[in-house]
Amino acid sequence: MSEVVLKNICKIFQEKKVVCDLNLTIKEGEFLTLLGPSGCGKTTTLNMIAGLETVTLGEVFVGGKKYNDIPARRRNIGMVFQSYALFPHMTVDQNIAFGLKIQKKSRLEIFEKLEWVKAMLQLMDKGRRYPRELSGGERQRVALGRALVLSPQVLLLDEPLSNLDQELRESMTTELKKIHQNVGCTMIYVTHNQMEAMRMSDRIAILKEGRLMQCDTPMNIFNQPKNRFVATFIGAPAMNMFPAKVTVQDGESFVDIDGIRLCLEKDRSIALLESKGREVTAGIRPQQIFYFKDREGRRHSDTDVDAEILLVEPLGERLMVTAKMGKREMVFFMISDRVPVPGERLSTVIDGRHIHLFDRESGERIALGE
Amino acid sequence: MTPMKSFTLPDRSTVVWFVTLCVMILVVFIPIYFMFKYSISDRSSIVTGGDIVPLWPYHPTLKTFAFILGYPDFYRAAGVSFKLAMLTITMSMTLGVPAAYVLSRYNIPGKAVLLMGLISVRLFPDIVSIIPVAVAFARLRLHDTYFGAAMAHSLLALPYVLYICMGIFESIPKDLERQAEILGAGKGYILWRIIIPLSATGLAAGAIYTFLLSWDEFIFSYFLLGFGELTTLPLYLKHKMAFAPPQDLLMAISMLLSLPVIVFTMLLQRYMRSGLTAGAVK
Amino acid sequence: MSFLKESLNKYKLEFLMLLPVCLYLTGFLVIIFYYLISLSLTYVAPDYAETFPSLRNYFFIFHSPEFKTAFLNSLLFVIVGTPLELAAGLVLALLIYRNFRFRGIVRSIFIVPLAVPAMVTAIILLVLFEYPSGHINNILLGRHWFFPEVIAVPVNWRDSAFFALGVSLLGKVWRDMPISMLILLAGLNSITLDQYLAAETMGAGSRQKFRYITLPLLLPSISTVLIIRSIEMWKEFIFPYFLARRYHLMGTFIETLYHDWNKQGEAAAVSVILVFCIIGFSAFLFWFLKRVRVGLISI
Repeated sequence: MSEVVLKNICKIFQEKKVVCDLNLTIKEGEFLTLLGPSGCGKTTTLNMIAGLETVTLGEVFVGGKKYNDIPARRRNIGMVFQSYALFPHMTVDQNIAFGLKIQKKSRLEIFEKLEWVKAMLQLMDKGRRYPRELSGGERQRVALGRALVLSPQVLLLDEPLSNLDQELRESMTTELKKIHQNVGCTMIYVTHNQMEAMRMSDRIAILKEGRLMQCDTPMNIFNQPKNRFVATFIGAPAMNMFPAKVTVQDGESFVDIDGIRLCLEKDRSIALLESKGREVTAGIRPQQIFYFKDREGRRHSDTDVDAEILLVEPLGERLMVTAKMGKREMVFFMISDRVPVPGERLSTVIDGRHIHLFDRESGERIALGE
Repeated sequence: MTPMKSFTLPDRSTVVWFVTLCVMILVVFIPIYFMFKYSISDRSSIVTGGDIVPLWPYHPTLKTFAFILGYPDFYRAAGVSFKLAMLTITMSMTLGVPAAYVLSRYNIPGKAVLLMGLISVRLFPDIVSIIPVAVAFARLRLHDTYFGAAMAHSLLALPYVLYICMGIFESIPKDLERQAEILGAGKGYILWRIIIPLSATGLAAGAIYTFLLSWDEFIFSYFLLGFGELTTLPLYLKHKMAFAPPQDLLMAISMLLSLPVIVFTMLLQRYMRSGLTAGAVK
Repeated sequence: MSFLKESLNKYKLEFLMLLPVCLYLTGFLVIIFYYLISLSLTYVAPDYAETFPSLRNYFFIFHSPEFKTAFLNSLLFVIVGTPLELAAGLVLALLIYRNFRFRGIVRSIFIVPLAVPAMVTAIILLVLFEYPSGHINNILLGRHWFFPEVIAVPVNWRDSAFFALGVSLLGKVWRDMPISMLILLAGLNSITLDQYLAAETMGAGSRQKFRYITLPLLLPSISTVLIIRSIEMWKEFIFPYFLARRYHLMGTFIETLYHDWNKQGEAAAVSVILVFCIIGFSAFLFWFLKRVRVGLISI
């Protein structure tokens, strides 16, 4: 396994900048996901690491060596395609052993490696079947096995789960993480599904229109999104986001969202005293708005907000509620044995420590020291 | 504003490709060109008395066409061909379209057998099929009749009609029919008012293909009509050949024979793509 | 049994729609089989006395030198013609496969030979290959500026089996190459780019990609072309009829027997033999191609 370093990578295709000035380091043995909406350049970046696309500007280093001019077939990089790209005229055994055969490995070695990979991926009795006889999940495992059997330096995966149905996707997500723990190779994963990214990755790199928005661990990205885009992209349901203003009253600063005045925790309250009147965007995760009965204890930074229920969606273990608070609609969760009806009013609590503030224009996070 | 692309010399494989492309286009065109050339040739371009025949007529003329088109025998033969083709279309579409519909919608136990039967008809060379048919038709007194010839032509056309129409019907979603059924329409109504209009283009393609098949047909017509009253255009052409006519006449007739075919084939070649590839037994 | 009756009642309309075609086809098949068998097994003596059943037709056929020539000619025709058609179709398909601007138009141009009636093509070739001063002869004799002199005396293309059948083979291949092209194009288009990319990441170079991916994946199309076109070669009638009537292929031999010599029985016998040839040859080809396919990819 090797470390991958992308330095100032740019890809320009027909005058269009598909990837701009990307700087990324993927550590040895790390599972990193390139996450972003369609067209953000994640697959292009993956292809550049694989050598299937040329790098317009910048450098790609694998294991410390510059790989820009090395053709794909000599990079020893494994890749799993979205369509699996299995060879329809070859059996599972022949598919997996393809790379080994090209390297002219001995029959014994091929056999041993084949058995190892098939055992790891639970394909033991499928060796003589053809791709058309396999289920979607089995085909995907063959595609994985085909890449893993060559002991690649890096394993690249291009949205391998998007062709599977929901249930299969669940189990494969866990499978992939287990395989990563077993084999320990550097894995770079591409997806637009943030749930997958959160569950599987050591770190996530979020891309938008060819630029890197944030690269950090899943929890950090969830709790401290660097900008508005990341904040709304990660987390389902999406963060409640509104234009707001910083106001100062009685020597404390507050965040005004259209008729609701929210308290902040002490440190931020002091730091924002200078930004009186500043226009910001405020974000609150649904998970951070509480039905007052669900909240134990009370803090200085809590605000009580009246809510008028508009819509209730039962999720099983809890309820997802859309309610009118102030002049805005917000989404939050409720644990209750009684399902409230639309039109009912109830009291909620918003914890000021978990209000995210972003600059109105740039969308960048307003950190404490600004 | 996009910058000017710099001119690079094409690599070797592109040159090879391009040259081969030109050669093959020429190969395809040459026979057609000559047919065209002779049909518009004047006498002096053909009868040169020892000098080489020119590659382009000295005085292109449409006289030969005018001559043929005024010749009653030609008209008669063309008329016979036309009527025969129309009769063939009627017969093969009447037989084939309903059957294609049923085959495309239902999974009948004997489906494979039926399709095998179809293919096996095409396995026999025309010359092999025609002898028994000619003998049988002679005994049934179908020899030298429109009906007999149309039956034989329909036999040839049915596999294609079935294949094309099955393809068309399969592309119409079953949900449309189910919807109509729920809304209260009977099966006949659905067929007539929904299926047929939707598949009209495809059916037209099948009809035109059948027309061309019958129009060009030589072997079956030769055995069933050849020595009798009815003459189709291909038979007329063959008949003329026995008298060693000048090439311009030959070619002009050929042109007139081929023209509908070429025109329609070019227009329809999008539709016929699938029909040709799998029904490529001739 | 009752299930059958039930479904028959329910689907009365559909049954009626399907029945005519079945009857029609069965009728013809019955007629063909019946007459072929009965005619071929009926010996008509010179005094018009009929004997049935009799294998004398077959006896005469197997001992006649004309039949042996016709059979050999047909066999050669098939063995030479089928690969030729495959090659022509392959060339055309590969030419079109490249992505270029006038692709659609060129493809339409390549389909033109199929649009010309076979008979017309044969007659055109008759004119082109005329002896002594048809165009081909003129060109080969160097009488035009753009071609060197290749032969000294004009060739009589109808004079020998080789030339006559050769020209008819040429016509047949010319006319039917679009079909091979279309089948091969479909095969080429079914190979996805992904598979080539995956192979690259596993270390495959151009030659390996061709040998392990392109060729095996194209093999089904090639097999289809070979089998279908070989059947067509056996069946060929029109081109040899117009261009090489004297040098019999099985098809034209049947016609001669029937029309010129009025030997219906023998004609039927040759027909039966021809059908068996077709079936036998196709089966053999099918088996052979299967072996090749398996042999190409083995670990």
